[in-house]
Amino acid sequence: MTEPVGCLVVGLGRMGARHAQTVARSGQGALAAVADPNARRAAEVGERYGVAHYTDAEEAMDRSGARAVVIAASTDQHPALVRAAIQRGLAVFCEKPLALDLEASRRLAADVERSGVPFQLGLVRRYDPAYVEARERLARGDIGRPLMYRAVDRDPAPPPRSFLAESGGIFRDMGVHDFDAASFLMGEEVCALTAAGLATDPVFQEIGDFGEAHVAMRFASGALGSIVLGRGAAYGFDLRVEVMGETGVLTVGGAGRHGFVALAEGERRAPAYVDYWDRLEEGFRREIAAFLDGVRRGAPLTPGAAEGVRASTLAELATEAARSGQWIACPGALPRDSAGAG
Amino acid sequence: MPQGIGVAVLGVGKLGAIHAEHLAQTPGARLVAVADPILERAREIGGRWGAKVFQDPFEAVRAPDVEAVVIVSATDTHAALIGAAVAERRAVFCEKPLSLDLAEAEAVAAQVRRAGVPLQIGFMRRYDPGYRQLYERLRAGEIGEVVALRSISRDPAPPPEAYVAVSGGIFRDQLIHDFDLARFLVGEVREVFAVGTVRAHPFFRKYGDVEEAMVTLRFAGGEIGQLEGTRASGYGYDIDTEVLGTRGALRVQELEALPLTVRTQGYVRQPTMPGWIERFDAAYRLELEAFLDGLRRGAALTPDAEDGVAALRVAEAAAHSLQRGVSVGVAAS
Repeated sequence: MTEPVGCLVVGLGRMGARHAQTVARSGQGALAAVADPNARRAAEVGERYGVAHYTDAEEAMDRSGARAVVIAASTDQHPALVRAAIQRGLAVFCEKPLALDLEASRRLAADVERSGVPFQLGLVRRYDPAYVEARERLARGDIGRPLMYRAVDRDPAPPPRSFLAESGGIFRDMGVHDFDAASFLMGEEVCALTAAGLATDPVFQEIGDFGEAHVAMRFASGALGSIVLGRGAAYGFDLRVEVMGETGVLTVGGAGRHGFVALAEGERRAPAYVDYWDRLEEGFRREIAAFLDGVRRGAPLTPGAAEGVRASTLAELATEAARSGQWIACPGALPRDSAGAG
Repeated sequence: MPQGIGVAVLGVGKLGAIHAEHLAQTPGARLVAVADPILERAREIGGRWGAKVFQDPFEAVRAPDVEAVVIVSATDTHAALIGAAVAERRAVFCEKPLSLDLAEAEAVAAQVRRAGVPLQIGFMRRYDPGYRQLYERLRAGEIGEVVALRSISRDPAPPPEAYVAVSGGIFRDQLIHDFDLARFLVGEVREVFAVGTVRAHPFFRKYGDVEEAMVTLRFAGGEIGQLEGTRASGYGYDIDTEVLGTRGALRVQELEALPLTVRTQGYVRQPTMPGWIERFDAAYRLELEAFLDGLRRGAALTPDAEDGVAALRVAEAAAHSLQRGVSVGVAAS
């Protein structure tokens, strides 16, 4: 039997509880402890898996004997928790985003880098089997050189106003996944972008956010890309990517699920995905499995803090572009003069 | 420590190892023992999950902290192991079929019924999310009254000859899943007519078996059905079931292995499922969760031993029909 990496899960909301389950299921002794400021919640999840539970995350790090920590607390807690973990030399898995704003994300990424502690960021699509297969096929040239990237990412319903107001907006909250996925699938950087948004409901206007948004991008090779983000697709969760290459087109998502189809009233009907968990459950399982496995074997973890900073940078620029209506060149990519509206 | 039902897995071949993994990962269960005639294999799987290891499955049945057994051993051992489990009052999850012999299956079901020991049989398609959806929408009346059933089960390549020799033939081994589906989705089967052929793999003939079979069904309620079973499709694993109603149709089709499509060289291409383990991964987990949940709540398990016997009756009739070239009635239970 392989020696498990004792892992502490901090923050036991919906995602944290799911990560705790994945860790617990990965083998005996894998889940060392859980922590949540809400004592009842901590006890409930801890007892479910027969592990110690704490209300204080740092106390849990000191006393549980864990070698690794999964951080699924609210985003404003990420920097303090990540720093507490790296000071103790614990390997860290942290949910996206790194921090509430770009500057804090950069500083945290720099601290992580300096510490040399193994670190993985929760950009789940890099572990979705369809994205992984698409990346491999694109890299080996199944459709030739990629020319056009097109993504749609819609949640079934907007989160509560209180969450929206603190979320940083649609580009930072939802878009980071799609900015990261675009670089991951295309295998290159975005060098310029512009964005526009639509307040589909008065609540978005009040808080200065959008219910639907559109990003247009140019990649370093000259390839073009677009991302559509939506907070309220009344029909279900919708995640699609299409890459057109010189010799073909590759599509992720869009079809129904479970292979189930109904034929009635002149239509062919396949059920939509209900929510992100329904579509991405396997990816969430695999990212945690990859983290535990990487820590155990001392192998490099991916994606790291740098990928998080890159995606957050694009989200920041898209937020700015949606206000100004301008094309913005992305720092560190192409020089500004070759990255115009094109 | 977490409470859970103590389970022994008897037989840890390909499917047994998957059941063992699912049980080890389910908070409601404790995988306490595994048994396999190949001791090394038992050690490999048992060691992975910290379970006690046995070579003799009967010893595993008797082990003190075993409350339930999951039987995934060769079919010819099912009846004796169920008998031992009943004697020790262990709840039973048994892979299909109960037995290769109908009379023995009936005797086992009667023994289980008399003892009042809970038994669930491994017709996992009933727990597949797609088939579950089809079943629920059918029951909700979405397509009106059922008219006809059409179902296809195709394996990519034939099993080893040694397996075919003891499998009981295509009807008891493969199409039994479709016979169960027919009963689950439509109702009792009254009459069958079967044809079969051997083309690519002559060794099937040695065992009076076929590599491709089609069975026409007539149901007690007047509905009709057509089933196809293939041992060697040449292209991959394929499952396709359709219920036609008076107002529409419900289908479970070839499930995409990934939500990924590639359009090149004049084709729209989608990766297909390599085999039954991948296709029914969720179903294998869900059927065991239902088993454990039923035991915890003291609820009736489904599908049960009677369902196992009823599907075997249809399989037996289909085998007779193939041999004699005539339509054969299915005895009512």
